[in-house]
Amino acid sequence: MYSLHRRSIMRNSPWSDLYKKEDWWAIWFAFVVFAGAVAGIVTKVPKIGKWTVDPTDVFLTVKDGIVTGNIFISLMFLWLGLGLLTLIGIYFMKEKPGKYLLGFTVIFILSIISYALSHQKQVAAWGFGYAFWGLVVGLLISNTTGTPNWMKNGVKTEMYIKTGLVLLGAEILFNKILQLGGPGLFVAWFVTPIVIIFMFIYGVKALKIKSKSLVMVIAAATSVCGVSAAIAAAAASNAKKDELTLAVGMSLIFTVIMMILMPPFIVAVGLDAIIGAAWMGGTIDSTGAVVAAGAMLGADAEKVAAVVKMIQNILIGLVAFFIALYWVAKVERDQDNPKPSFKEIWYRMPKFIVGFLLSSLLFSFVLIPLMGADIVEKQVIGNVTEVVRNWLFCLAFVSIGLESNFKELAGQMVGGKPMILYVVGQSFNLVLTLLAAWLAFGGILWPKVM
Amino acid sequence: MVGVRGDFMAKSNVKKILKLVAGLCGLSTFFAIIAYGFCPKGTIERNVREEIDATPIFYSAVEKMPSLEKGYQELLKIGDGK
Repeated sequence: MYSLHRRSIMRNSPWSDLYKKEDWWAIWFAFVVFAGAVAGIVTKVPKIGKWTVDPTDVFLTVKDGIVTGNIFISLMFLWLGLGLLTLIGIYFMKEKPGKYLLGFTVIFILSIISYALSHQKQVAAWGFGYAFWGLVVGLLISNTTGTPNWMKNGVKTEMYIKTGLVLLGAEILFNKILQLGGPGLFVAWFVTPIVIIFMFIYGVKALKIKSKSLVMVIAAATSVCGVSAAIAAAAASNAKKDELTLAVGMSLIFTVIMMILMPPFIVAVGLDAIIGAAWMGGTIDSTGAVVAAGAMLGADAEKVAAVVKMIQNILIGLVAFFIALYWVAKVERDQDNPKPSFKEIWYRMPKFIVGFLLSSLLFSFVLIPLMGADIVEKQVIGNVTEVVRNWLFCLAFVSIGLESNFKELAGQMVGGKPMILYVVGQSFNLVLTLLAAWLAFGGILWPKVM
Repeated sequence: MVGVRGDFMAKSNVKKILKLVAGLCGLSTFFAIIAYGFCPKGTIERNVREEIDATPIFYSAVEKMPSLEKGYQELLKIGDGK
């Protein structure tokens, strides 16, 4: 069985951990990207373009409807940059650099294909993103021909996920919360912790699902923000890869269903569009689907739905931190030592979570005040760190697919318990969020927004 | 003995490749249906018409997020009577 990371139970954390452990390398890799972006050395990272009929359009850069060039060279630089950067870590972690680079190259090409499939215009309208296609492409290979051994050397799921999460920290900007006022904060932050705790207790105690990490990953995906929360929770709770695959798969399917059904339901029952938008913002898992569903109820509803979801997105830093803390202090604690000391918690805490929070604090309270929100959000995050983070997550999902098999996935679904957990948890989430949306946007706790 | 084993390996490889081809056909069919075929009325139809990308997993990947944020703040100000 694989786990997203194996925590050292050693009581002493030697200095050599700084260059031997993947957790620390995730922080170094991410901070090299941050440094490159802030210093202006890396100004733009290639994004895969959209296409309708001709898939090669994904390589074209288009401005105002006119083709201005292509991204072949910049994709080569991205491959080289990511490959060489991670190769340094691979070397110090005493793995095989040459074999890694070959495997990485093929996984990078599979990631381009996954990204391209997700960027077909009608496919993008459905909401099937790179996470879905990455998993499907990887699963297709691993469950038919099997993943070749030479390719397995590039399958570094944990490294891609952890580095992506430290980069994601830069997008969790706490200063935004202060600007966005009480109603959105109430809907997003009042309901989420209650739903996570309810789902965790329900899954472990009532459904008696043996794997606590599976319960936690499904709970985080349902209550926070789908795929990104599932990744963060899986990494923080030491989840197995097939558990993450299962949670992501369910979240993606229900996201599409809810995006299609919720707007007409809100109209049919005559619910106020703003309350309905806040309701969708708090319940539909993926951000893109929330914005799309919100737009169905009008321009103002779209704004409310998007911002409620954005505030919920920002919560994942704290959620991941508390999950990691709960796991090291309670779930994986030493049975002879029921109350671990702060020192022990520090030793066992996954360090990339610390990097995740540090990067969030660095961007929120140092870089934005120093450089200005516009420059940081558009040039540093928008052009560089967010794009690299998406590439790393895409590499991670292809890798997860390459390491998963349908038999293990089917084993997780025995008795349909994960599905019951998702459906019951999401139903509870829907009821509680509707109440919170009515209190916050219905003129009860705050003045009506329109 | 080697011949029998080689034969078995060759059959096994053919079986694996056939499985891959079948998987690719299934995947291509699914892709073709959602990319060019079935498009339910409502949200998906509107997303296609307005070219709305429903795939971002985080707010920072939504292109018009800054304008949505700004618009939301204005809505709050109207609500506060400012």
